[in-house]
Amino acid sequence: MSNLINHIKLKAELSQSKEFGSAYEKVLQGGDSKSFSSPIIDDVSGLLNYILIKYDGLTGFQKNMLANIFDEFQNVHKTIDPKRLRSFEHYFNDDNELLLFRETENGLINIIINPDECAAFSFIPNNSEEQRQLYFIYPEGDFETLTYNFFSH
Amino acid sequence: MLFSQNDEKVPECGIQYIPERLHRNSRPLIEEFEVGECLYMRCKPEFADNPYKNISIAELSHNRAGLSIDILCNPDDVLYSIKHDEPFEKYEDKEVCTLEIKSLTPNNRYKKTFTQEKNGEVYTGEIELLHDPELCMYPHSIFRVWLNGEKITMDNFSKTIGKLNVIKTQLKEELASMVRRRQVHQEETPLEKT
Repeated sequence: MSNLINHIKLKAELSQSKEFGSAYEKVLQGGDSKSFSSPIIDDVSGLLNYILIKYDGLTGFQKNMLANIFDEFQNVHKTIDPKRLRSFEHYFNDDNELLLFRETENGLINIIINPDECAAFSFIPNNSEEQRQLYFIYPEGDFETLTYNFFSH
Repeated sequence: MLFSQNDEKVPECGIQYIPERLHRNSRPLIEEFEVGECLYMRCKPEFADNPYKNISIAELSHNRAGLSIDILCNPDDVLYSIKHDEPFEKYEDKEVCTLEIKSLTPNNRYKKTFTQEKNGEVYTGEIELLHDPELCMYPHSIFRVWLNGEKITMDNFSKTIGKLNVIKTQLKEELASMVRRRQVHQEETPLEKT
């Protein structure tokens, strides 16, 4: 919570700079779908807060699923490779689905968080000989495996 | 003016800039498709990057190239506007996304079924590739989606399939895979890995 308040406060202060306010605004807004690259977001909770602020139309279900996912992302950040978290992007589409996605040399990986009911993992490989993957995950599901699948392709 | 065999007036394309070769001109519906046939979709450039960003289950118009013995169109013909209320001839901000049909059913169709149980009821979603000729665009085709026999449109989407997240996501995955890999597969299904 303190990260969130500090983020908002810092953004407000920087934006008021006469000379550099507009430049800071551009950096801090992050665009429509940008990777985890904001200079003031340097931890997992900061990124979660950023997403929660940016997409204010998220349902309670989506926020809950996102929290579950980010609990596992925290483990990746701490124990495996902090740079892994810089490799994904996010987007909120017109069907109110929150997407966390990565594009690698192997293919396109998405976690699709629906407004309610379930989330889904999708892997579409670039090699058409390789089989696609799709499965659904519910609030009590295995988020550790989901996270592993998301970052392993 | 065209006339049918019964000397009845047949509707014609009234859009001047659409080439004659694309007019329907009483040509018949072609129910079958062909392995190797191409489908031409009109896409925003970023659409193919991650189709989940803006893929629509309710609106999937495109042009079919046609059977090898009778090619119906060029790829960029899909960029023509055939809507009378649009003040332009071509979609300048879109590009052509070409999908190749890799496999079909034994009767040369594409049709897939998905099911979901929710609150004790079983729902069946279907997606089918159909030739859907327009007066000014004979090659016009569509991926039609049905839920329990009801055709899904932009108007009823949120009240029908929009509430069934498993079927909705399965359909989107099928379509996203097509656009991403530029292929249409009747036989391929995703692995349900846990």
